[in-house]
Amino acid sequence: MATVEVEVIAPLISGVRHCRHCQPFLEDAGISAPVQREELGSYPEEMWQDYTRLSNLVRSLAGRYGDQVRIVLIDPHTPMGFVKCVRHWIRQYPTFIVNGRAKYAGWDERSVDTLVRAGGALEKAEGGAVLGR
Amino acid sequence: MGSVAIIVAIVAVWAGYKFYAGGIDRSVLKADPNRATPAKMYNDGVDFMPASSSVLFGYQFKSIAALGPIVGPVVAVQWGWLPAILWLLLGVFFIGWVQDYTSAVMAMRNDGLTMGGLSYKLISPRARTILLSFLYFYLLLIMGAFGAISAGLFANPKVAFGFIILTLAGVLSGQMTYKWRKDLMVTTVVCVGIAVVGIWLGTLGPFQAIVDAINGGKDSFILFATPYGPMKWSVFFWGIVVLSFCYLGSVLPIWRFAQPVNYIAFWLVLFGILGGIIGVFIRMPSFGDFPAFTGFYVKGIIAPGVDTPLWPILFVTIACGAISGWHSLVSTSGTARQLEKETDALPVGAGAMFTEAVMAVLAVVFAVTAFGGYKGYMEVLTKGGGPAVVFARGMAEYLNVLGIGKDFGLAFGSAFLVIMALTVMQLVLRFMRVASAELLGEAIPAFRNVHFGTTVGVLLTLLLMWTGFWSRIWILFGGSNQLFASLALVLITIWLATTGKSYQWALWPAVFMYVSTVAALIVTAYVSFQAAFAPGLKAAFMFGNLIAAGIGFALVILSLVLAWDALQAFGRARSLKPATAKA
Repeated sequence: MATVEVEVIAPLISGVRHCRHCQPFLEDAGISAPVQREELGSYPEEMWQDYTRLSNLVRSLAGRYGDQVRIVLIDPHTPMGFVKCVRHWIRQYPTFIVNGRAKYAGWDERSVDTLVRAGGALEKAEGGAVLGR
Repeated sequence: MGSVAIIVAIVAVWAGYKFYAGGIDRSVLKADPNRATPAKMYNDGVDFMPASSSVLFGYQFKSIAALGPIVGPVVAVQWGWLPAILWLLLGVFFIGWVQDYTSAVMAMRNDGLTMGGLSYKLISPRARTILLSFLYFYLLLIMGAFGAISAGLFANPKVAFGFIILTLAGVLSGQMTYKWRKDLMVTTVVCVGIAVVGIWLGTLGPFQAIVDAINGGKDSFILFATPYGPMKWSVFFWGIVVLSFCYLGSVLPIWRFAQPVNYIAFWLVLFGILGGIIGVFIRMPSFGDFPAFTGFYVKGIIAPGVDTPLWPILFVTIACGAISGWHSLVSTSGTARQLEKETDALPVGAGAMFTEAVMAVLAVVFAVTAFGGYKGYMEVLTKGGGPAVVFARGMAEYLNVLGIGKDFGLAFGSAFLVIMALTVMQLVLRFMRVASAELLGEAIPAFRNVHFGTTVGVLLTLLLMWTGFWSRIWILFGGSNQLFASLALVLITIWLATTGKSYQWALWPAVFMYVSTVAALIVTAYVSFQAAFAPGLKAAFMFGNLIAAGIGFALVILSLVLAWDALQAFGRARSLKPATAKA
């Protein structure tokens, strides 16, 4: 069975981990953890709420479809993220793009489910067996 | 000739990558696509995480290429364009890729250990401490060198206003993204548009007049004399402004300042690089009367009026593009932990290094061709504001080929360089603040205060900028960077010997880099020490020279201790029988 690719476009909380100039210094000097803690703690509360909500949604998807889906989180601020925004005309976050074509913007898990199933994934039962549609 | 140089560079790096690097990869390191990498073995979704080779190539290139491949070559063409291009091509061919690629493979086959961990394991516990000392000197010197370069650019009345607007546009982009939740396309178009319009406005009369007024007149005025020339009020003042930006970048939440300003700057850097390259190929510039070789000694790189020898100074002046020790940190602590397959290490580690060499050759072409010859280049370098202005004016010349006005091109190129420098500086200052809180916070509780730690970092930087000669700071910075390179190559040699592999191809580059770097540091420290006791020198400049001499000699002593430990470790590695060694 082919894997269904789900790209999730949403601003991510990265602290300075995204900075490839700083991270090697922080790692080698052994002070990466306090810097990351400070940076992550400084994001606005509403960003954290959205981030937690998105994280739960992604975990739920991964739990239900297992290795049938490949979920990729993309920050729109990266070059790849910007290209995706222009190509799919993304104006709202999070946006879910399934198999590079089908798109849904919003938080409704059932709508994401519909796209993922349309892409060919089957929901797993609790024991791990794949259920029929 | 300019475009010929770029084509020769591209062919040379292709041959180096394909035949030499590819040959070593096949015959010595034998990268195996089926061997489990740390990214797969320890996948934690944070540090260890498999990523595709094309994504990692982008990461690696972005990490290694900042101001280094631009400033170093622009300064080094004072010896003529041939030594600069030869060192770039031979350096990357025989040394640069060896370090970048093999340090990634070495870390990958040692459970993703960083340079510090590898030094501890392969050389000695104190080798890790010495590495950290190189690192702290490196950071302080990077602040001084980049700060001085940025202050010189800001002093141009056409630059300052535009840059301030660019920064405000960045802050607005953070507000729009993280607070107002606007979509990125609108945010990007609005904020990049504001930044570009701001840069353009800054070149117009009324706005220049405001900056002129701040500068104290069109040519500013001399605040005090230094042994390296007059310190103008404009450079002094804008130096404080530059450090104020760094201060904000260091103490404000990352999403409020550093991250969004960098995001907006990314677009300007992208447009600048693409425009410059297209301009070079359209104009097909000639090297004109720019000499291939001006002589073994040139005056004024270490200090005004002082003869500066090609060997060893060229080899620390140009680091990025030929070989830069900083890259080994990137390869070990980042890339090695994200490589999905061992065979990806070659296109990522070596490929990014070879690409950077082409970028550095492009900087040589800018410097050599944009000013109508050697005289014009030296005029801009010595009287016009230094290598950053050489590059910015070079970029303006080639953007002009595309129909972009030279005034706007100069302001754009300057903003491009300042933002690249400030991106690094504000994060280095943040790092210095946290490091001082962690290391000194117990003994001196004031360092735990965000503003105190940052202020100390700012004051140290200003001290370096105001009492030192920027070009000498650049050489010391290059020296600490190349000591990293020597250490990385020594580690690679010891690791190869330990695992019973051929190691000559890493050993001789290690010896060359170590000897050249230590010699460069001794020359620079000695000249600074002599200058400190020049008759009639004011106390502040004696202090500045003594700091430079002290840093130079400290680095030399540390590197001698490191060499002693490394020799012993190498002896131990050679005595191991290959059968007992494991990769």
